[in-house]
Amino acid sequence: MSRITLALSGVLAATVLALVLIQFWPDLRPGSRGGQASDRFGSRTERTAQLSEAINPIPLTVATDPRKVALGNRLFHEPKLSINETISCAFCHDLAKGGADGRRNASGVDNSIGTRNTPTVLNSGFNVAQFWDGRARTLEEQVDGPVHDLVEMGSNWPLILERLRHDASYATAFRAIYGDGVQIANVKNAIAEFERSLITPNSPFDRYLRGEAAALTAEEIRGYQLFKNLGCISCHQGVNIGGNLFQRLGVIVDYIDEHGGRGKAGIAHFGRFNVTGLEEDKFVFKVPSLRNVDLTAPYLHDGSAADLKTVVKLMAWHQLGRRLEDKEVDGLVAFLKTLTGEQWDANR
Amino acid sequence: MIGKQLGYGAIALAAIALLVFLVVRSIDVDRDKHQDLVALADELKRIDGVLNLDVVRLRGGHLFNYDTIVETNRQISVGLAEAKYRLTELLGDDVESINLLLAELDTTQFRRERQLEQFNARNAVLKNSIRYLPLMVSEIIEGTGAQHDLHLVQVLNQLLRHTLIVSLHGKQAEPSMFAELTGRLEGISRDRPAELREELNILITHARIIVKNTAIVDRLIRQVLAIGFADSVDALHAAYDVEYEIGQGFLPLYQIALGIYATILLLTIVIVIIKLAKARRDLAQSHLTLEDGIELRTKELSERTEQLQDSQARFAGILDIASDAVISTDDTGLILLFNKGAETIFGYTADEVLGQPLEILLPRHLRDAHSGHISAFTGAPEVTRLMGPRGVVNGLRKDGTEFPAETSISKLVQGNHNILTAILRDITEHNKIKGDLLAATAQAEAANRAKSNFLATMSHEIRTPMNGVIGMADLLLDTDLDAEQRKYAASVQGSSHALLTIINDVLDFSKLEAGKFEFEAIDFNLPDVIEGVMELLRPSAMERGLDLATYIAPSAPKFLNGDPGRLRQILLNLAGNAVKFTETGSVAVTASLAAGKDGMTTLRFEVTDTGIGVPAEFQAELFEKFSQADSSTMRSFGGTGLGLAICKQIVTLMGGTIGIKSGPDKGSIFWFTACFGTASSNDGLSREVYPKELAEIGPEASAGDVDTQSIRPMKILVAEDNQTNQFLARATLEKQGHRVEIVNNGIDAVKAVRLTSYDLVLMDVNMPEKDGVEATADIRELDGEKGRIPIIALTANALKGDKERFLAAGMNDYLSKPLDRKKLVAAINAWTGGSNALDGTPSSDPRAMSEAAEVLDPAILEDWRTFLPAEQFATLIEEQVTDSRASLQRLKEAVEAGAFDDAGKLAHELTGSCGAIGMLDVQRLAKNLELACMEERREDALALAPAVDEAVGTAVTVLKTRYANE
Repeated sequence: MSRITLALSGVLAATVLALVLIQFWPDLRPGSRGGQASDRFGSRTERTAQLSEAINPIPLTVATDPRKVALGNRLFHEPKLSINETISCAFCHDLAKGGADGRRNASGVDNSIGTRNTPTVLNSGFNVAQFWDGRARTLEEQVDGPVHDLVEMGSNWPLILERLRHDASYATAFRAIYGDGVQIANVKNAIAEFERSLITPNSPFDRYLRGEAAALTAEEIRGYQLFKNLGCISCHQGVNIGGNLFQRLGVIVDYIDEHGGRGKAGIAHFGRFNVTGLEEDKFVFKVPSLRNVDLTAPYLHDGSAADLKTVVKLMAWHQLGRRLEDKEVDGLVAFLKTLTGEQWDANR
Repeated sequence: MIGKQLGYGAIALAAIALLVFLVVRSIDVDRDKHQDLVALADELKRIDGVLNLDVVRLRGGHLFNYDTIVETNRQISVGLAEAKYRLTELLGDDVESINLLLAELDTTQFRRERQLEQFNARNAVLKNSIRYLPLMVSEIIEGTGAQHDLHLVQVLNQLLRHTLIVSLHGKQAEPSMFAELTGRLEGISRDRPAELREELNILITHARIIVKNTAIVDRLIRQVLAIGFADSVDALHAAYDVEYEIGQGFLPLYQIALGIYATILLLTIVIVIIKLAKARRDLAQSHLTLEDGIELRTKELSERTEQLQDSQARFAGILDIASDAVISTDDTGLILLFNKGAETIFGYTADEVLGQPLEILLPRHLRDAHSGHISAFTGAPEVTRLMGPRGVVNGLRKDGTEFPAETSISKLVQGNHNILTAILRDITEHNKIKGDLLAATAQAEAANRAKSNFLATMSHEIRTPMNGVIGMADLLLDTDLDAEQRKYAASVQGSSHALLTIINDVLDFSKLEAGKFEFEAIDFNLPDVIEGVMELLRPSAMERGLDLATYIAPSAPKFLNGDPGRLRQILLNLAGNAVKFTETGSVAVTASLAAGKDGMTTLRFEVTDTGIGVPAEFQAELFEKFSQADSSTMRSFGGTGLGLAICKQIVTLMGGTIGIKSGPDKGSIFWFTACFGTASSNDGLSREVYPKELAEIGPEASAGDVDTQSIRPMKILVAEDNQTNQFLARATLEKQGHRVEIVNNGIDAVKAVRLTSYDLVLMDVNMPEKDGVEATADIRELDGEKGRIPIIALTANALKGDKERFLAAGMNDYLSKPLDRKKLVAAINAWTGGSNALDGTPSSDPRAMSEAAEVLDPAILEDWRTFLPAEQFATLIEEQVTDSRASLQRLKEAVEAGAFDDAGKLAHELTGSCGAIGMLDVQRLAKNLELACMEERREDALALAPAVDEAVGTAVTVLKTRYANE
């Protein structure tokens, strides 16, 4: 009897001690994690460094989930997303063509033609919003657009989900990553995660910014000086040299009057107005990024500018009220060409 | 002790359970989430501060890009979404106060996003214009040679100053002044060269942008800073705190309870440990006490052992004195004890056999069975039993001779072991004496039997000539005789009667001695019997001048069942004696009810006289053989002295007693009691018993003189419930020329026999209402010829023992179903044609019931087909099929209703009828069905019914195929 009672007493004593300790020493509680919250959105020093320059180099890496990136990559190239299984995201956002299609206007299923120029998918994760009019706040939201657009994929989610669920490899991969298998949110997230991985660091200009003076030629440096002095940098700033701001097309000199006219411009030229419904937002577009701009001709929302020289001149006149000399145009174009970076590989 | 431990265990378990309960209730499962949420709220407020700061920095020109605004905004959106998610997780999504605040925050954030978007765009343009405007002014003044255009320069400077003041001071420009300046500049530009005009227009645009956007940007900054996002977050936090406290519920109480309980437990443990230490000390103390006790007990035990040894020695001495052999063995049959008596009887010394198997004391042929007997006894409940048949078993001496021994065996259970003890007594001498005695007894009994037989035979043989003598004497007295001749002839007649009485007595007595005395059991009328006796005695009574009287008490039943002849014999004997031994006075016979129960009636009869009486010393011997009160009496009154002895024996056999109350010259009362059955009916019972009695005394009636009847048309009753069998019987018998009447059950059969004269009855055993056995018993109760009508049983129950049952019920013969036509005819002829078939050999072998799975028996069918006219044969088959189907339907219903008796009878009927016309398959299946019903196997019965139905169908098909052409 004495042994049983002793053993019981021991167990009880140990339990009671442990409980008392836990009760009055909260940091010992399982899952307690003080101080973590303040690190949630990055440190202040990091932030302060970014603020000192108008343009910052693209970070050399980006934090993404390699499995999601791989799945997103596959989905990005998946024709099953379109109604007749003919085109994928990559059909327009050709990574070999700077993440765009080289056409004046986007095209889609059954050879239909869209109304706007395809924006590049490269570095799109840095943008304040997606589409020319910024109607999608995130990359995930953006996926809905081309999927449903009749002149793009012309598809719908039930159809896509059914197709993907019938593919055992998708079903397995989704279940492994997301647990709940093939779902709309998961498809979007995988594609968006892949797109977030599409950064192009190490451009000559970024190397120059990082202190590698020889990365740019004298001509290119002169172009950068012009870029700043002329005021281009007022809008094309930040990591993505644009993309973080909306601006009226024709701040100084009206653009629409000269290109197609107000009356018949149609909804494709209304830009931000289509999202906010505010009269003052008519002809306001997201300032596009100039990263890899050399690769993404033609330019502007309607693809009306065939090459860099043209668009540089157009932008200087309509946005800044400047008529540039050829020499200045050449300098600016030379500079713009240094913005082409290397495609980062998430698996590297 | 164990119970106590269980109690402690239960208390400890309960304590732990309570502890676990309190711990579980005390842990705030959401605490981490709660902390995260609080931290998130703080973080949102911090980011909000950062955003506001960045906006101010941008406006002041201390920030160079909009990434930070975009990023901070995104963080606020993400943070809000997370806060929403976590709140839902913690409180659910239906807390109104929280939802309102969240919606407000969403709106606030949306509005701010839009304001920031405007701010960013306007600010970018504003910054550019402010930077560019001075440059442009100086370029125009210096570069185009306009420095000499004083008016232009003046206006440009004024515009520059004005815009810079507006921009740098951040105060609202005066619209009128700005409009005047731009108006003047536009006016000047009109008459300037186109190139300058264009530049001036652009300059004006920039100036307008500065003035306009400064106002807009400053307004937006004020709006953004005043938006109160942090206040909304605080409000949300406060609302959440309220909900959280409500959600916490009794948690703080549980935590306090846990603290208190934990303290109590700790104290309890300390107390238990202290108590344990004390208990250990006590245990050591009691251990010492215990050892002292053990020492004391050990001493006592050794004393007891000595006493035991003494008593064992005494016990051994007693055993040795005994002359019987006492032998004990252990479980394995090895000898443990062998006393002096055993040594003497078996010739072994104890030392020779101790430890040896008991078998050495047994003859070889008994050894194998011995161990089986022993183990049976070991397992049996009784403690002692005799060994061998009648307790005698053979033993084997050392010298190899066998001897019989009266042996008993007993067992003593000690723990798991049995000690078996056998006590033997050598009965060799005893047996020898017993054998001699038995032989002598048998010899004496044989001699006695021979004497009785001799007497019986002699008496019988004498009786016949005696009748002749009496008859001749009677005839002689009827002729003309002279006085002397008549005297001699009368003397011959009287002597002959006396001799006949003596002979009859001797005959009865020897019958009684030989156990051959038989009693009848018939209904009779009691007053008739008594009156008959009195009538016989009346002449001699009148001769002596005696009065004869009878009295029958009203309690005595008038009708009885028994042997009236024997009753008459006793009464005649007693009353005859009374008349004989009474000089004057009277003789009276009375009868009264002594007892009656269970259908038996005991009557008391008394014969009272006023005669010489019997002295007390003779009364005891009075009912013994050959005794009369006085040997001189025998000479005076004649008689054999056997009468009362015979009466006593008869009375005893009739279940009664006999006795006398008397004294010399006081008269005598002879009384006796006798048991009778109750008469089955009270009418028509004036049975003539006397002639029968005479017939018994007279020459034996011949049993062999039955009329030998030739085959003649007869009237036959068929009692049979099965229609097919009815049909077959009728067809068969009518073809033979007999008249046939048919009844459906036993009751009708009895009625028919009673009302009509038949020559023979065919009686089915298995019938509704009253079966054949009961009906036969009733018929046998009937009077006269009707009660003796030949009855032949018809049965499918040809089982062992049935024959005896049927014959015992009074049937004369029986026939197995299915009915064999030839055997039926033979049996009827045997019973009506005179030959005796009482041996009861079954007319058909029940085992002959076919086991072959043939559908039809061609022989039976062919037999019927040739026997019956074609249309009758067709009818037979058709009726059989219809009946079978109907029976099956009723059978199924009966089985479903659980009436297995009814179902069994239906199946039985079906078995019989199908067999009778040779439907073998149906018969076999129906038999199985009958068995299933009898054993109440419901499922089997239901499964078999369709099979029988199908078999009927098959049989019909085969029949049709076979006789299609006819």
